[in-house]
Amino acid sequence: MLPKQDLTQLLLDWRNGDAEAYNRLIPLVYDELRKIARRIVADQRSDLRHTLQPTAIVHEAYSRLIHESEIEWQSRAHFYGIAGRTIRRIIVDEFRKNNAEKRGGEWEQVSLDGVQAAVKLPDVNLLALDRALEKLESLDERKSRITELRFFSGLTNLEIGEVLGISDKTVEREWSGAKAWLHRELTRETL
Amino acid sequence: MRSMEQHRRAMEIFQQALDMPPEVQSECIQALCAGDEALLQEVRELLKSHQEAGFLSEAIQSKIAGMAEAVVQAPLRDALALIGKKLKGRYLIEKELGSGGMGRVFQARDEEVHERLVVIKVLLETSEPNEWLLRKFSHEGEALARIDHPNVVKVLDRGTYNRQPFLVMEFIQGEPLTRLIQRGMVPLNVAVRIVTSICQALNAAHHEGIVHRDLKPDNVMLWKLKDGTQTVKLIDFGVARIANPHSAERTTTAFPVGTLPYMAAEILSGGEATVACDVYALGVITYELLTGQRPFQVEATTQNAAMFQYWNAQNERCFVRPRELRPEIPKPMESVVLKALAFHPEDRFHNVLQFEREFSASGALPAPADPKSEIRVVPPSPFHTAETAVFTSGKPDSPASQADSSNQPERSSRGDSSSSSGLDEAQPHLSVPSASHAVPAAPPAAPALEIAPSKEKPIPVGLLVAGITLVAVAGMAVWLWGGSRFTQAGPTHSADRSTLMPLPMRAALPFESVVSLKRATTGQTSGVNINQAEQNIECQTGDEIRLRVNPAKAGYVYILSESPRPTEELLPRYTILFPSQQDNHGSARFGRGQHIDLPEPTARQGLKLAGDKGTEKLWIVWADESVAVLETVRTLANPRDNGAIRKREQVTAVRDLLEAASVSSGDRLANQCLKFEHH
Repeated sequence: MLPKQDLTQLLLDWRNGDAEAYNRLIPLVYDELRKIARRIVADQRSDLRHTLQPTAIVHEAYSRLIHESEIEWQSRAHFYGIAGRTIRRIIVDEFRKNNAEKRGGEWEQVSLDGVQAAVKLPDVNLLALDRALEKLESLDERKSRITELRFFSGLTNLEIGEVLGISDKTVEREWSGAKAWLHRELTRETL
Repeated sequence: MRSMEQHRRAMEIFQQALDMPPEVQSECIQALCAGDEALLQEVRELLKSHQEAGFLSEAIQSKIAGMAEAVVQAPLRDALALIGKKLKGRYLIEKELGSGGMGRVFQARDEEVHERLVVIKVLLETSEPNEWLLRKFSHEGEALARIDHPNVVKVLDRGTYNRQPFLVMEFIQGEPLTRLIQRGMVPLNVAVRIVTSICQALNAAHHEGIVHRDLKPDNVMLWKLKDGTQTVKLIDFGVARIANPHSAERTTTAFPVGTLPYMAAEILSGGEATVACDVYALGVITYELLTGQRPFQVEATTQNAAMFQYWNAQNERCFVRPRELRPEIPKPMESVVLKALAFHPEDRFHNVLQFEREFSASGALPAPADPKSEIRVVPPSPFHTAETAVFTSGKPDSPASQADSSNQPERSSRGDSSSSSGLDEAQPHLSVPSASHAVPAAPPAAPALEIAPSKEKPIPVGLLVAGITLVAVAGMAVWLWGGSRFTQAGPTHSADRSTLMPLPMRAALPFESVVSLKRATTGQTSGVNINQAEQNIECQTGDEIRLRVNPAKAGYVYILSESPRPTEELLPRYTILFPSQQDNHGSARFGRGQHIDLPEPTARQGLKLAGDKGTEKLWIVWADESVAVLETVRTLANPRDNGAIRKREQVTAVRDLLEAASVSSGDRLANQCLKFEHH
């Protein structure tokens, strides 16, 4: 009944090699992230678009769920990893629901309403992204994790380096490779 | 394996190529690929992608943010999507009545049974169907269905819609007991009758092994029957618990503030809810019915502090004896109530029947012949200064039982209820003469402000006060709208608050507000004086609002705004408008005769409502001493952010304070809420 402690314990278990703990962590984090995301919207409706980034959600989730004093630094890294994975799942599910009736549509030139962007950003098919990430995971797990942490946990290269225990230079390098690979993969899929 | 190896090689060459001078790049990669065409092709594609991938990251992030928004809006959307839907091919959802925790409450019409109204509670939002929660929801539904008592809200049906389980419950048209208590002291015989009904309902539940867990006057409905009589219905049996099983632990904000006063010490200290807890809550309700106030009152700004203080107050038994507040209470009755309030569960009554028996006996009132005790009500009459409640035991036309001669009720003649009230006019309501102020003749309860337009267009605020037409009649007893305001207290059965009932105000506020409204559409300015605790004001986008607060007593004044929120369970968003660091030398202190203008009279424009539709509230808080919470919050609020309060702890502290002030309206702390209904 005390999710904070549950979560901390599960994180510790998972880090200590209990694979089952991971499966039990996911739903906990999932529920919590949703609630947190909703509260962020409630708090700052007007600057919604600016604040409702996965980053904000994850940081908030972290501060809410983990007893800082009770958990060592590595677990923090694990948490971000899980949060990233979880948010990816939530977001892709939502995308799937919203786009169930649509077909294709990758890279359509669609403007994003509400965003004052000078450049029209291409519309991204998140399902394709998800599939691409899965493929990347089988080929090159580290790149896939880096991508997930960037997109869905909103971490910087430096933070990702800390999470994965590699230098930010390496992250930088891997990330440029991952981006190129994703771009190629995503454009290939529409062809 | 081949692909993995190729990928590794391709990436390696790609990375190297990035560091090469462009002019040699093509040659070099060809050499590095050593005739492997597929590899060369992949490296080339990667390099091309690298150049084009500029916006990829941004586009993906943008899309993800958009989806994140969709995710958080989803529950709202899901709820909206239910309106107009037919569940089980017969329940046509008409509107949403409220929400809380993870459940939502709708009003629906049962097309198979004479289009009768029903209430539907849907367990929404379990994105990942949570097996435990689903089981619990259906289990409690079954348990509730088993109770089958006339004083307990009935579960009529259940089912699932899109994998979301729902319960169909009877629709209760009436008002919560809270309202009756607020109107003043309840005649003893009425109190006994109500308490007896609650006991019987509880007993039926306990018999089925169900503890209510959240017994409070808000969950005791006085249901108006067709013949004008009222009966008691208990609602929200353990549903709060099902809908939000982790609320207490997960978020302090979701912890129902309004419920604390009804929580027994053992619950406050983390124990399980038992029958004894319901007995305790019953004791509090009875105390409140008899005396008009709760046995224990605490002042605390945080949830934890309040919990501790309630626990402590129960332990020390620091209440005022009911007979000191109301001497007519028979001594045995007092003893019964105090026994129910015992600190140790084992010192209370062992069950509600025992409580009921002793309580009824103590009032020397005959037990009702019919378990469905009925309250005879008289519609408000414009010709009488007071309406009274008459109880009948059993048949509506039998003479009232009036054992308590000191409080013998009179029956007023039936008169037409006021026509311009905008309320449910036909609805009789239970009203009792109060010791402190007579209930006025049914007033034209102001349906939002009617503001008479003034002639000139731009009126300096100074002149405005003199030039306005007063519609809300100051000086007379003022009535306020009950409004359908849902508290934070988790999912409530919502029929309760959907009925608007006029209420007399308890005490005059130590200040008066003057609101002037410049209509965007007509450019006309009009104003009104308000000295009641709550007032609805209709307005539209672009309307300009100016506010003047005239304190009648020296003290401290704070003004906050509260933005509309999409659903009530979200935290409110406050902005502190006064004092700012410049206003009044940055002080909230005011002498008598001084007034506060918002914005400054010299400001060219008044306050404008933000684009969000909904109810924007202005809270005016008056206190005889500076209010620590608000002083802290206003120094912390970022002036560059216009004084918005963003930190969660601060928001909850402010909310708790506003709630406390609403309850305690008096000479130390009082507030007023102006609700700008923005359409």
